[in-house]
Amino acid sequence: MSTIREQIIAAAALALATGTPEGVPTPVRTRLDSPSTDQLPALTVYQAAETVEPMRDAKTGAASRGPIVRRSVLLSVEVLTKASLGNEPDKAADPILAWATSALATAGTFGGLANGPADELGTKFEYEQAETSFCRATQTFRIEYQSRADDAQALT
Amino acid sequence: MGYLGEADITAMLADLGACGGGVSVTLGGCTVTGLLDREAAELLGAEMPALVAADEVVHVASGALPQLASGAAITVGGSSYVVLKVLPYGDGAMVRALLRRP
Repeated sequence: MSTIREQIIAAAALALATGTPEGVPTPVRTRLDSPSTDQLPALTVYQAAETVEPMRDAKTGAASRGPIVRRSVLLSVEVLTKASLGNEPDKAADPILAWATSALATAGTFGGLANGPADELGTKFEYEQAETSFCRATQTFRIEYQSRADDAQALT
Repeated sequence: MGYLGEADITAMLADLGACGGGVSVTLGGCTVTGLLDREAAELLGAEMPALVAADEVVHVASGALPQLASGAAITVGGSSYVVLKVLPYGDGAMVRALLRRP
Protein backbone atom coordinates (compact mmCIF):
# COMPACT_ATOMS: atom_id res chain seq x y z
CA MET A 1 0.00 0.00 0.00
CA SER A 2 1.18 3.54 -0.61
CA THR A 3 -0.06 7.05 -0.03
CA ILE A 4 -2.57 8.62 -2.37
CA ARG A 5 0.20 11.06 -3.25
CA GLU A 6 2.52 8.26 -4.34
CA GLN A 7 -0.26 6.66 -6.36
CA ILE A 8 -0.89 9.98 -8.12
CA ILE A 9 2.80 10.54 -8.89
CA ALA A 10 3.07 6.99 -10.24
CA ALA A 11 -0.02 7.54 -12.38
CA ALA A 12 1.43 10.80 -13.71
CA ALA A 13 4.70 9.06 -14.59
CA LEU A 14 2.74 6.32 -16.34
CA ALA A 15 0.71 8.89 -18.28
CA LEU A 16 3.92 10.55 -19.46
CA ALA A 17 5.32 7.18 -20.53
CA THR A 18 2.25 6.00 -22.43
CA GLY A 19 1.99 6.65 -26.16
CA THR A 20 4.94 9.04 -26.24
CA PRO A 21 5.46 10.64 -29.63
CA GLU A 22 8.75 10.21 -31.46
CA GLY A 23 11.47 12.39 -29.97
CA VAL A 24 9.99 12.41 -26.48
CA PRO A 25 12.20 10.45 -24.08
CA THR A 26 10.89 7.86 -21.66
CA PRO A 27 10.31 9.62 -18.35
CA VAL A 28 12.36 8.75 -15.31
CA ARG A 29 10.58 8.83 -11.98
CA THR A 30 12.89 10.85 -9.65
CA ARG A 31 16.30 10.68 -11.30
CA LEU A 32 18.99 9.00 -9.24
CA ASP A 33 21.95 9.38 -11.58
CA SER A 34 23.54 12.26 -13.45
CA PRO A 35 22.86 12.03 -17.18
CA SER A 36 25.66 12.68 -19.64
CA THR A 37 25.24 14.79 -22.73
CA ASP A 38 24.73 11.76 -24.97
CA GLN A 39 21.71 10.76 -22.86
CA LEU A 40 19.83 13.95 -23.68
CA PRO A 41 17.03 14.79 -24.02
CA ALA A 42 16.01 13.59 -20.59
CA LEU A 43 12.60 13.76 -18.96
CA THR A 44 12.19 13.41 -15.20
CA VAL A 45 9.06 13.55 -13.09
CA TYR A 46 9.22 14.05 -9.34
CA GLN A 47 7.27 15.53 -6.47
CA ALA A 48 8.44 18.95 -5.29
CA ALA A 49 6.23 19.76 -2.30
CA GLU A 50 2.90 19.08 -0.70
CA THR A 51 0.66 21.17 1.49
CA VAL A 52 -2.11 19.90 3.73
CA GLU A 53 -5.15 21.83 4.93
CA PRO A 54 -8.05 20.81 7.13
CA MET A 55 -11.46 20.71 5.53
CA ARG A 56 -12.87 22.87 8.29
CA ASP A 57 -11.59 25.16 11.01
CA ALA A 58 -11.02 23.77 14.46
CA LYS A 59 -13.75 24.57 16.93
CA THR A 60 -12.88 25.71 20.39
CA GLY A 61 -12.64 22.74 22.64
CA ALA A 62 -12.72 20.27 19.78
CA ALA A 63 -9.83 17.84 19.47
CA SER A 64 -10.11 17.38 15.72
CA ARG A 65 -10.53 19.53 12.63
CA GLY A 66 -12.31 16.75 10.82
CA PRO A 67 -11.52 13.32 9.48
CA ILE A 68 -10.59 14.45 5.97
CA VAL A 69 -7.79 16.80 4.87
CA ARG A 70 -7.32 18.62 1.59
CA ARG A 71 -3.90 18.00 0.02
CA SER A 72 -2.11 19.78 -2.81
CA VAL A 73 1.00 18.21 -4.31
CA LEU A 74 3.32 20.04 -6.69
CA LEU A 75 4.58 17.80 -9.45
CA SER A 76 7.74 18.78 -11.33
CA VAL A 77 8.33 17.67 -14.90
CA GLU A 78 11.94 18.42 -15.80
CA VAL A 79 13.20 18.43 -19.36
CA LEU A 80 16.95 18.56 -20.07
CA THR A 81 18.01 19.33 -23.62
CA LYS A 82 21.07 20.41 -25.55
CA ALA A 83 21.51 22.51 -28.63
CA SER A 84 22.15 20.95 -31.98
CA LEU A 85 22.87 22.50 -35.34
CA GLY A 86 20.14 25.06 -35.96
CA ASN A 87 18.17 24.03 -32.87
CA GLU A 88 18.49 26.01 -29.66
CA PRO A 89 18.17 23.97 -26.46
CA ASP A 90 14.91 25.59 -25.34
CA LYS A 91 13.47 24.99 -28.78
CA ALA A 92 14.49 21.34 -28.44
CA ALA A 93 12.53 21.17 -25.19
CA ASP A 94 9.35 22.58 -26.68
CA PRO A 95 7.75 19.40 -28.10
CA ILE A 96 8.52 17.52 -24.89
CA LEU A 97 6.90 20.22 -22.77
CA ALA A 98 3.89 20.18 -25.07
CA TRP A 99 3.66 16.42 -24.61
CA ALA A 100 3.76 16.71 -20.83
CA THR A 101 0.94 19.26 -20.83
CA SER A 102 -1.15 17.08 -23.09
CA ALA A 103 -0.43 13.78 -21.33
CA LEU A 104 -1.25 15.08 -17.86
CA ALA A 105 -4.41 16.80 -19.11
CA THR A 106 -5.50 13.54 -20.69
CA ALA A 107 -4.81 11.69 -17.44
CA GLY A 108 -7.66 13.66 -15.85
CA THR A 109 -8.17 12.74 -12.22
CA PHE A 110 -5.62 9.90 -12.34
CA GLY A 111 -8.27 7.26 -12.04
CA GLY A 112 -10.31 9.14 -9.47
CA LEU A 113 -7.44 9.75 -7.06
CA ALA A 114 -7.37 13.53 -7.60
CA ASN A 115 -10.16 16.05 -7.25
CA GLY A 116 -9.62 17.22 -10.81
CA PRO A 117 -7.08 17.33 -13.62
CA ALA A 118 -3.55 18.62 -12.89
CA ASP A 119 -3.29 22.41 -13.02
CA GLU A 120 -0.24 23.58 -14.93
CA LEU A 121 1.23 26.48 -12.94
CA GLY A 122 4.21 27.45 -15.08
CA THR A 123 7.60 26.60 -16.54
CA LYS A 124 11.03 27.76 -15.45
CA PHE A 125 13.77 27.85 -18.08
CA GLU A 126 17.43 27.74 -17.06
CA TYR A 127 20.50 27.70 -19.27
CA GLU A 128 24.13 26.65 -19.04
CA GLN A 129 26.94 26.75 -21.54
CA ALA A 130 29.79 24.27 -21.87
CA GLU A 131 30.70 22.14 -24.87
CA THR A 132 27.30 23.21 -26.18
CA SER A 133 24.24 25.02 -24.82
CA PHE A 134 22.00 23.24 -22.37
CA CYS A 135 18.52 24.00 -21.10
CA ARG A 136 16.57 22.77 -18.13
CA ALA A 137 12.86 23.47 -18.42
CA THR A 138 10.89 22.59 -15.33
CA GLN A 139 7.12 22.53 -15.53
CA THR A 140 5.17 22.67 -12.31
CA PHE A 141 1.74 21.10 -11.98
CA ARG A 142 -0.54 21.30 -8.97
CA ILE A 143 -2.70 18.28 -8.19
CA GLU A 144 -5.33 18.55 -5.50
CA TYR A 145 -6.75 15.55 -3.72
CA GLN A 146 -7.93 14.52 -0.31
CA SER A 147 -7.16 11.81 2.18
CA ARG A 148 -8.10 10.82 5.66
CA ALA A 149 -6.38 13.05 8.21
CA ASP A 150 -5.06 10.05 10.06
CA ASP A 151 -4.27 7.87 7.05
CA ALA A 152 -2.58 9.26 3.92
CA GLN A 153 -3.22 5.96 2.18
CA ALA A 154 -6.99 6.25 2.40
CA LEU A 155 -9.14 8.56 0.29
CA THR A 156 -12.09 8.68 2.69
CA MET B 1 55.41 46.27 -23.72
CA GLY B 2 56.02 42.54 -24.01
CA TYR B 3 55.21 39.79 -21.56
CA LEU B 4 57.61 37.91 -19.34
CA GLY B 5 58.99 35.01 -21.38
CA GLU B 6 56.93 36.02 -24.40
CA ALA B 7 59.70 35.12 -26.80
CA ASP B 8 59.78 31.56 -25.48
CA ILE B 9 56.06 30.84 -25.75
CA THR B 10 56.02 30.09 -29.46
CA ALA B 11 59.00 27.77 -29.09
CA MET B 12 57.49 26.04 -26.06
CA LEU B 13 54.20 25.45 -27.85
CA ALA B 14 56.08 24.16 -30.89
CA ASP B 15 58.01 21.75 -28.67
CA LEU B 16 54.76 20.54 -27.11
CA GLY B 17 53.28 20.08 -30.56
CA ALA B 18 56.32 18.10 -31.69
CA CYS B 19 56.00 15.67 -28.79
CA GLY B 20 52.24 15.25 -29.19
CA GLY B 21 51.24 17.51 -26.34
CA GLY B 22 49.71 20.24 -28.46
CA VAL B 23 47.03 20.52 -31.09
CA SER B 24 46.77 22.28 -34.38
CA VAL B 25 44.48 25.33 -34.17
CA THR B 26 43.22 26.93 -37.36
CA LEU B 27 41.25 30.12 -37.69
CA GLY B 28 40.84 32.27 -40.75
CA GLY B 29 43.61 30.59 -42.69
CA CYS B 30 46.10 30.92 -39.84
CA THR B 31 47.32 27.76 -38.08
CA VAL B 32 49.17 27.71 -34.75
CA THR B 33 49.86 25.19 -32.01
CA GLY B 34 47.67 25.33 -28.92
CA LEU B 35 46.83 23.29 -25.86
CA LEU B 36 43.40 21.69 -25.62
CA ASP B 37 41.78 21.04 -22.26
CA ARG B 38 38.59 19.08 -21.78
CA GLU B 39 37.34 19.14 -18.24
CA ALA B 40 34.16 17.63 -16.84
CA ALA B 41 31.53 20.14 -15.76
CA GLU B 42 28.44 19.50 -13.67
CA LEU B 43 25.58 21.65 -14.87
CA LEU B 44 22.01 22.43 -13.93
CA GLY B 45 22.06 20.48 -10.71
CA ALA B 46 19.48 21.33 -8.12
CA GLU B 47 16.80 19.00 -6.83
CA MET B 48 17.77 16.31 -9.32
CA PRO B 49 21.35 15.11 -10.00
CA ALA B 50 23.36 17.39 -12.27
CA LEU B 51 24.02 16.93 -15.95
CA VAL B 52 27.60 15.87 -16.69
CA ALA B 53 29.03 17.79 -19.62
CA ALA B 54 32.46 19.17 -20.40
CA ASP B 55 34.19 22.50 -20.81
CA GLU B 56 36.50 22.52 -23.79
CA VAL B 57 39.18 25.19 -23.87
CA VAL B 58 42.10 25.80 -26.18
CA HIS B 59 45.07 27.89 -25.04
CA VAL B 60 47.04 29.84 -27.63
CA ALA B 61 49.58 32.66 -27.57
CA SER B 62 48.00 36.11 -27.46
CA GLY B 63 47.78 37.64 -30.90
CA ALA B 64 48.68 34.40 -32.65
CA LEU B 65 45.23 34.18 -34.20
CA PRO B 66 44.21 37.71 -35.21
CA GLN B 67 40.59 36.73 -35.87
CA LEU B 68 40.12 34.98 -32.53
CA ALA B 69 36.82 36.32 -31.15
CA SER B 70 33.48 35.15 -29.86
CA GLY B 71 31.45 33.45 -32.55
CA ALA B 72 34.41 32.63 -34.80
CA ALA B 73 34.49 29.21 -36.46
CA ILE B 74 37.68 27.45 -35.41
CA THR B 75 39.25 24.06 -36.01
CA VAL B 76 41.04 22.48 -33.08
CA GLY B 77 42.78 19.16 -33.42
CA GLY B 78 40.81 18.50 -36.58
CA SER B 79 37.40 19.13 -34.98
CA SER B 80 35.14 22.05 -35.74
CA TYR B 81 34.12 24.39 -32.96
CA VAL B 82 32.74 27.86 -32.42
CA VAL B 83 34.54 30.22 -30.05
CA LEU B 84 32.29 30.86 -27.08
CA LYS B 85 34.50 33.49 -25.49
CA VAL B 86 38.13 34.56 -25.30
CA LEU B 87 39.74 35.13 -21.92
CA PRO B 88 43.29 36.36 -21.36
CA TYR B 89 44.91 34.87 -18.29
CA GLY B 90 48.06 35.09 -16.25
CA ASP B 91 50.10 38.05 -17.46
CA GLY B 92 48.17 38.07 -20.74
CA ALA B 93 50.82 36.33 -22.84
CA MET B 94 48.35 33.57 -23.59
CA VAL B 95 44.61 33.47 -23.98
CA ARG B 96 42.14 30.69 -23.51
CA ALA B 97 39.30 30.32 -25.94
CA LEU B 98 36.27 28.51 -24.59
CA LEU B 99 34.77 26.31 -27.28
CA ARG B 100 31.40 24.91 -28.13
CA ARG B 101 30.33 22.41 -30.72
CA PRO B 102 28.60 24.06 -33.67
